[in-house]
Amino acid sequence: MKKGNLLIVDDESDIVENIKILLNDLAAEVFTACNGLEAIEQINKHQIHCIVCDINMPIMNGVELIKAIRSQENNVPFIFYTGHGNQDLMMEAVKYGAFDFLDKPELSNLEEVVSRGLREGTDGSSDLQMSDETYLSEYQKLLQSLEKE
Amino acid sequence: MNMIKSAIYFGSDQEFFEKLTKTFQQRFDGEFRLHQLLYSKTQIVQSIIDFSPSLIYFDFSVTPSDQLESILTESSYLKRIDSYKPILFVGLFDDISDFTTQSLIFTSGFQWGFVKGADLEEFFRDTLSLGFSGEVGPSFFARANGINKKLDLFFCSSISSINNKTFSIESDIYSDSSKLSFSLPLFKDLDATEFSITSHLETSFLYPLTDSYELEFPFAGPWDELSSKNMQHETVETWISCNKDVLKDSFSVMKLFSARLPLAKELIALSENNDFRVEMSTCLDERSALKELSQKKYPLIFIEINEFGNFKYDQLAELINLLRKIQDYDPFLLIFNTSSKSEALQKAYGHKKILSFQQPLSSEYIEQFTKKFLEKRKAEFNPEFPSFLLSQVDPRRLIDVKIESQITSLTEREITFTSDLEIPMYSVFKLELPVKSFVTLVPPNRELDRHLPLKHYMGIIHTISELEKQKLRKFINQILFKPISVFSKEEVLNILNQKTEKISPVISKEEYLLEKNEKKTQQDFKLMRPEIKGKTKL
Repeated sequence: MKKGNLLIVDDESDIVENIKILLNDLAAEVFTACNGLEAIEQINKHQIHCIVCDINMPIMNGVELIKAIRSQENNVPFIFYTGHGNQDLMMEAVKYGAFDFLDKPELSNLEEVVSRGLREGTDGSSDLQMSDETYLSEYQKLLQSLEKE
Repeated sequence: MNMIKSAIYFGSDQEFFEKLTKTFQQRFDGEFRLHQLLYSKTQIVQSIIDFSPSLIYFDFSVTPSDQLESILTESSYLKRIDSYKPILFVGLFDDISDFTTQSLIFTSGFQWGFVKGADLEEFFRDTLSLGFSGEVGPSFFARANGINKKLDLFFCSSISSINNKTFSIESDIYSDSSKLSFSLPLFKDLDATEFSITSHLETSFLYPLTDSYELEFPFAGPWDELSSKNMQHETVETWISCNKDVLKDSFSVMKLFSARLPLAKELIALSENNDFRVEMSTCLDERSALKELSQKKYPLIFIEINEFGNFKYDQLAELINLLRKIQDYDPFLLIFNTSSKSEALQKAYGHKKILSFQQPLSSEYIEQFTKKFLEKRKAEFNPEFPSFLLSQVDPRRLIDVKIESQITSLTEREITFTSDLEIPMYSVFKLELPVKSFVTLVPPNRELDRHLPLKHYMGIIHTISELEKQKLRKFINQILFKPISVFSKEEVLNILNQKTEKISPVISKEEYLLEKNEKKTQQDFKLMRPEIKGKTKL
């Protein structure tokens, strides 16, 4: 399967490095940026198939970044890293099509989520609509998982 | 800004339509749209989409009777949708022999009626005013004031469902007592006129009425003597069994938030072919949504996001906040027309049971998802005693909930009365005395005396033949000179049989205005958006 390119956006360089090491094998290439403006430069320079982004950054936060990207009709999957107290930013981000949110500093399911994001970004299936069968199957899974709880 | 007045006439009576058109031309001087249509299934919904009317005249005198069920199903559904409640639905009749058809119609969203042959000018004046401003103008008829006598009013209500133990009714009457008074038409030998309330919701499920009650059948106890005031369990079981072919199965209720009215056509069709119904709201009104959600606890809520319309992500956040306020309530939210994934929405809004879809909502999705859901939750939705519904056109569903009031004044057009109950504006009730007619509650067009702690209401009399109107006029003329001692059938008959006093039945406009020190003139009606039907606080 073709691997996609990943972009990591965070103003904390330690976090960027840790994520890069963890996800290196999943992506063809991993690019980094320390704020939204740099991220836009990277997106304009390279084809990016999935973005992992801190939601709360100086200069240009994650919401402003996704808004800018979407205005260019780019539907690349956005996975946001969020900390406590970012609920308002999360509710803002979903208005522009968020893929998922992960809690800082948890890295446990980052690989799984990024895998899905890269798959969607490379298949171009974010541009395609899910089939009815897939929706029904997702719905049934949700019903079953909640019943088990 | 002058809004274009839009109205629709469903019917083929050209003479009537021409008179209506002429009235519009005189009144609105070209700033109106008046359309004549013939009814076919879902045509009422389509006409609202196409023309955004404030007023719909429906000519039942020229409509085939086999269309009645379809019409009433559509009007009931539409008048339960928030945005369409203010549209005034008016029925036209040529026959009111037993009031049954009219009662079916007035419990299905219609709020005004007219018997052809009566005074058209007054009818047009009232409906145009009510339809476009929510108010009626002053009256210039002789008024019998200070009557202050007890009078029973009968509020048009309906049985919604029945099972072996209880039955449910829907009504505009809010009662916090333990009983309601009415006659039950289902069982001819049952003379009981009071029924105990087992539960009460300030919402309804089938008809565009404000409250629903579950009531007990007056079953005879093991040691009770059977009389006309009680009944045996077997009576109900036998009745249900004998009427199975005309009864419909009860249904589960789901909720939809979407601004796309065309979906209403599909939802009406869905409800005809399935054991569930989907109630539609076009926007989120926090107060009424909280009431509805907490009382009905829909297990599935469909939401269609429209960032340019009435339901944006902000409204989704408000809705989820409302859900958190309701104890033991955790519905599935199926959100359509969103580019965010389910997991993202679940985490952003802190609600696990969210599934998101990029596509716009369609009735096919609603049907598929609801059916799957109900399959999984079979036990929950299969009660021990299944309930059954009477058809929309079954006259046995009609109930007249009686309330006692004190009539304070009467003209041939309006009645004022006091009551301790809170009654919503635009509710329809029946008068038996002094003549049979229907009345719609309206915002008072003049200041009514305070009778605290009672509330003082005004209603406009309609759906009355010219003959009955003459009787009413005579009655009023008589009681102007000799007040009535009690509002009873005998007393009213006595008065109507008396020789009429020779007086002018109508006082002049100048006399009326002088008497009341009024400054307004007949042309001076405010043009406002009509009030949405709901409880009023007086």
